[in-house]
Amino acid sequence: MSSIIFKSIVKVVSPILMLFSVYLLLRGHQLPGGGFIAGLMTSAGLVLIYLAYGCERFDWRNRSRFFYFLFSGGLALSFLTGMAGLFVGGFFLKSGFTHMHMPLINEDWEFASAAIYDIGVYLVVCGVCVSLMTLLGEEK
Amino acid sequence: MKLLLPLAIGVLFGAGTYLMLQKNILKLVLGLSLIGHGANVILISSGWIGSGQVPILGKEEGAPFVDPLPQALILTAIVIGFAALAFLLVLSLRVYRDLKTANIEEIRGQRG
Amino acid sequence: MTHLLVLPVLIPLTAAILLLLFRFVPMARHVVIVVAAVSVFVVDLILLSTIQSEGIQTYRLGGWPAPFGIILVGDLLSGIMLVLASIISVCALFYSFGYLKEDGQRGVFHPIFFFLWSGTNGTFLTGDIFNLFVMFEIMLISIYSLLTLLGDKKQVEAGLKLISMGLLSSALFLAAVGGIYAFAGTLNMADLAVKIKPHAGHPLIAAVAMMFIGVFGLKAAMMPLHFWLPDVHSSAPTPISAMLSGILIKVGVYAIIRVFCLIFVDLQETFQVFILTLACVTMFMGAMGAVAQTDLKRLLAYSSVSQIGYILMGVGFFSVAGMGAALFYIISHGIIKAALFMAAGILKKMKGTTEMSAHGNMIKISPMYTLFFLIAVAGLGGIPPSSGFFMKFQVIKAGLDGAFYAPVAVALVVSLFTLFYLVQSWQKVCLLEQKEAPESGPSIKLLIPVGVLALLCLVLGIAADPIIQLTTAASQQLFTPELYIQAVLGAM
Repeated sequence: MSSIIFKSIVKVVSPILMLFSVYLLLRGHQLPGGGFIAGLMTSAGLVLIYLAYGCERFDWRNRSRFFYFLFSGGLALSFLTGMAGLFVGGFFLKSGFTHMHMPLINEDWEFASAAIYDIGVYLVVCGVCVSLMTLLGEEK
Repeated sequence: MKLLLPLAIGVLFGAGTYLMLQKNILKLVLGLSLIGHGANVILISSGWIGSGQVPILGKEEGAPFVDPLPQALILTAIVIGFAALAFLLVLSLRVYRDLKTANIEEIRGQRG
Repeated sequence: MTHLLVLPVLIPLTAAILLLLFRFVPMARHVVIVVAAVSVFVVDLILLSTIQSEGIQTYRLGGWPAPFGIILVGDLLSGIMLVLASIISVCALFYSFGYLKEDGQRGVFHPIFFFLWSGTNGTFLTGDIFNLFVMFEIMLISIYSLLTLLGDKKQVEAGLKLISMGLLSSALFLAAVGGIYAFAGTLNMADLAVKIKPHAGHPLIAAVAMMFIGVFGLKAAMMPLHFWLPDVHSSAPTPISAMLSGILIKVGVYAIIRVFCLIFVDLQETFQVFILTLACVTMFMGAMGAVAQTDLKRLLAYSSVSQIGYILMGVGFFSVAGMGAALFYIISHGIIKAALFMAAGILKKMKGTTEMSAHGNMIKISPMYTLFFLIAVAGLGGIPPSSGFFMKFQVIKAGLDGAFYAPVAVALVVSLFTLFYLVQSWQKVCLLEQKEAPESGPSIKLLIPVGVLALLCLVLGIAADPIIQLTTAASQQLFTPELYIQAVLGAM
């Protein structure tokens, strides 16, 4: 798998995938996209790196604790958004949104609490996918 | 066009069942995933109309559009199916490493 | 607006997430487990008494009103199931501290256990058919991982079986939900009941009802779909076996009750013969399987299949008395079977096997153990001072009242078999001489939860009256679905 062609393609493709995933994450509130798909897209980029370079660039196995905290932290973030709905909005999972004026680009942006929830989902999916990949990809 | 979705469902379920009856454990996993996708297509077809217009946004009053709720539902179903399937994959890998076989007949224990 | 109704789902979820975050800090984990377990138990009790005094409670998730958003509904049935779930869960949690050795195991076990608890509570509370599916899946995925946690070969094999069945049943569930949504255009169970009422004779409705019986019957181990249960329940780690047999197979029965007493009310008579026949077959074949076993945990697993038959029979009468009897049976059997499984787990801890021929002479080693085991055996066998007598008596009485003589006859014969295999297993384990004495007796940490559950079984038998009143009230509420519909849709 680790031919030089594949390696050089991955160098170009995986940053694009990850950037695109952030785009998907941010537009998810109104348009097709969202945390789950964005998380899968990021993981796809990471899987490509893993396939091309294996463990030589990035020691996946010894960072399992990092990915563990990535997904449990993401879970906590999503959950806290739901709890915030309970304490502020009166119902568990109640969502709210606000408009904010962006000074430099002079536009109104909408901020929804569901976006924070989506970021939590994104972290969970990334963490789980990478843990899964290192688990399944172990050579034996 | 009207036949397309039922045919797709039939093919998915048929292929899934065929794969499930094979002896290889990986084929079992693939068969289960195909059947899961067949069920997802059933679910999405419950909100389907002939013309297949995009839901709600940018529609004039009263124009027909596809029911968006089943789409949200299958998103949930896909995520859940993904989780269960990932677990099943890890488990079958575990079986393969422990028992050194991918044949279901050999994996089956001594008692029914 | 009170948040009481959402707490049984929220507290275990909070605990699970905290446990994940504190995985490497044992002290913090213990505090979280104790606080969460006690508070869920208290909240469930408060919730049950609130439902009793103020009627059916509802809670709108995310603030969306009834037919549009997901709604949580607490009626008496949910309240009873919640309290039962928390009794068994607390005991299983306590037991798990004695059962699981290293901290590494516990660090994974407890968070998933709380996810399981949260999913179970969610299943009992939700008023939305798709949310029921989601909660089922939370529960099932937790069971998959708890079952295979210790990595025993038998467990992995049973896990493979369970997951295949689980994936198939969730595909079937989705297909059924798709069918019913295409027909009625709503997922809220109360709204579905209203929309389906005028079209009860439609063939699609009958087909969907049949699919639901298949899905829930698979979870409840109804006869043709029971084959996964003996492997799974006997090979799981003991606290999970107790949870599985105590509460999780009843989730399937709960769902059958909920669906047939709310959505498919008019199909009750159509399916009555079908359910009763399957119940009788389940009862009989389960008992036959149990008689043939030499492994205690496997025997108990087959006995669970058999007892599910009794519960389904009570449900299948579709009368107030029958449903009340089934609910009492669910409570009583849950407690007794959890106690029995935990007792079997003690044997496993002592000699590493639950094969009955390897054990014996427990009456000399530990008289307390023998006593607790005997109480539980008497309970499941249906001997008077324990709650088991009332559970069987009520089901049989409800059958005679409704003139279902054939099922009652089967139930009576099977109860003899039940008594036979249980007493035999008790005698083998406790009375027979055994040359190889174990190094140590049962540890006190493991005995306490068994004792508590055995005591509860006695208390339920001696003071059965208030519980029977409660289950009868719950059953009356189930047979007036207008109350449920009004509580959900009237709050618009």
